[in-house]
Amino acid sequence: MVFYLFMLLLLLGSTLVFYSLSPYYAALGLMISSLFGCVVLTSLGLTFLALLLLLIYMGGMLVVFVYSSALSADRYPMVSNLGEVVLLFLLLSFWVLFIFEDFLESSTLFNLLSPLNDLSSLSVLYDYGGAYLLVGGLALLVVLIVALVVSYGSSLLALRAL
Amino acid sequence: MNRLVNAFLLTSLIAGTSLVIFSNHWFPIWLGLELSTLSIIPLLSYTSQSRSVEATLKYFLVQAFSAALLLNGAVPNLWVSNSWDVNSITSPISYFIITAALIIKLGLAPCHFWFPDVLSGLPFLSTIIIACWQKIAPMFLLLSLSNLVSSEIIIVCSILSVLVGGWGGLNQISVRKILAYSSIGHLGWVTCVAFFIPEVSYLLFLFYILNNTAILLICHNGSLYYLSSLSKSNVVPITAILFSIALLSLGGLPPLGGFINKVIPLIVFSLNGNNFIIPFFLIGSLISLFFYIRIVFNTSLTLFPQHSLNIVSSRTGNSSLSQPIISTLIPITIWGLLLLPIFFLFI
Repeated sequence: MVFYLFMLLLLLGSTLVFYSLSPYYAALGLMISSLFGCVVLTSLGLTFLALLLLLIYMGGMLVVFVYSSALSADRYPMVSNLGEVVLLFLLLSFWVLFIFEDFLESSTLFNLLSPLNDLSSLSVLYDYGGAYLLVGGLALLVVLIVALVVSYGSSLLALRAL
Repeated sequence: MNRLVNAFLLTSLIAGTSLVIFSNHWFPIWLGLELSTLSIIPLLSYTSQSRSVEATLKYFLVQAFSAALLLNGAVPNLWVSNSWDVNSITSPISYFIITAALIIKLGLAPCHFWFPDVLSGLPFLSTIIIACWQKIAPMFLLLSLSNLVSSEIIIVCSILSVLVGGWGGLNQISVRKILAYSSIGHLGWVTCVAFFIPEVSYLLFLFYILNNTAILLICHNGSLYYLSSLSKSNVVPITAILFSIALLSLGGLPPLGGFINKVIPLIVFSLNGNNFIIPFFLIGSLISLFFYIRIVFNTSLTLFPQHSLNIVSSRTGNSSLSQPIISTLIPITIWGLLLLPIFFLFI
């Protein structure tokens, strides 16, 4: 039941991302969803991935995103019809709860003394899965160059609306 | 754009598509699809005109959503069968989600709505990448899935695609939108055989790519963006004649090569006793033949009252890079019906 609550809050965070009309509340929604994603991962025993998500995603990328969205600020940031979001959210959560009530109790949760499945699987990335590492690095390089080319555009200023 | 950046992005586009074709684990397939989507974003929006940027954004949103849906559909299969292998689809939910993602990526009906919008905002060279190269990876995945599980989803979507491609292109004046709807219809013809013999679909798909590339390159050379510019364009008269014949081949008229795209599915259907669905395909391709003939009419068969020096032009893009490519592709589209005996290896 608690696990279900955490997943609901994850869904609420991502709903806030696409319902908000200004990037302030979208970034807040991303923070909420990443935080509760961390909690969900921890309750499944994957603590390394949760810490990775928290440090790198929330502590690195989201901070940069919040600062850069503050540069393109709205004067009056708003979320569009919050009542509709809350109503739909309550409807969805109670509907799922009443249909899937038997499946919500699970005995494999919250055993934090389980072996570190995520950390020992990550080590394969540097061993037999070296090709994945190289392709991942290539993809990140492509993303960097694409982001630079797209934001550079045709003008020589640093920050320009596309 | 900088030449080095251009070369790097084209290389990563080819690398992304190759990654999809050569792997049998779902994760590199998703990675390759996302890599190819990402690396063409600057190639589509290098002119900072708002039409190109809007088309790029629409394209990116549709492709990113469908790639995420694909990875999401591989997970139930992992749950059921403990295998990330592409060649073992054991869960029908997983097959349906993955097929839906690939149909969105390809632009088959009923998920075709993004395709004419995106194509009508891009210049012709970018159109070639979107309509021809970017279809290779999802089509390859769809056909390799059809090798394992034959499902009627593909037949329904191909019937809808042929009908939508016919009716959608009727009232258009922009050549790019006409070619977008023709591409939707052609993909319907290509995928309909996948239910019976998926290997033949590869042959039809190759022919569709060659035909479409030839037509798009000629349109790029002559800057044929609207129907009104078809008769005033400065193409060499031989190119106008070959453009007309290549368009009729795209429409599927019998002595030309495009007929191979129509006769092989008809043979496969009637050999399998599936005569009921043939009229839907024939109606769709008949309607699409009308707008091909409209383009032919406006290109070669009309003569607007204009200055007579515009009729025969000697200053054209004869020395451009696309001219040898057009010269090799056009004979394939005209004489392609001689390749029909290859099909009989598969029966």
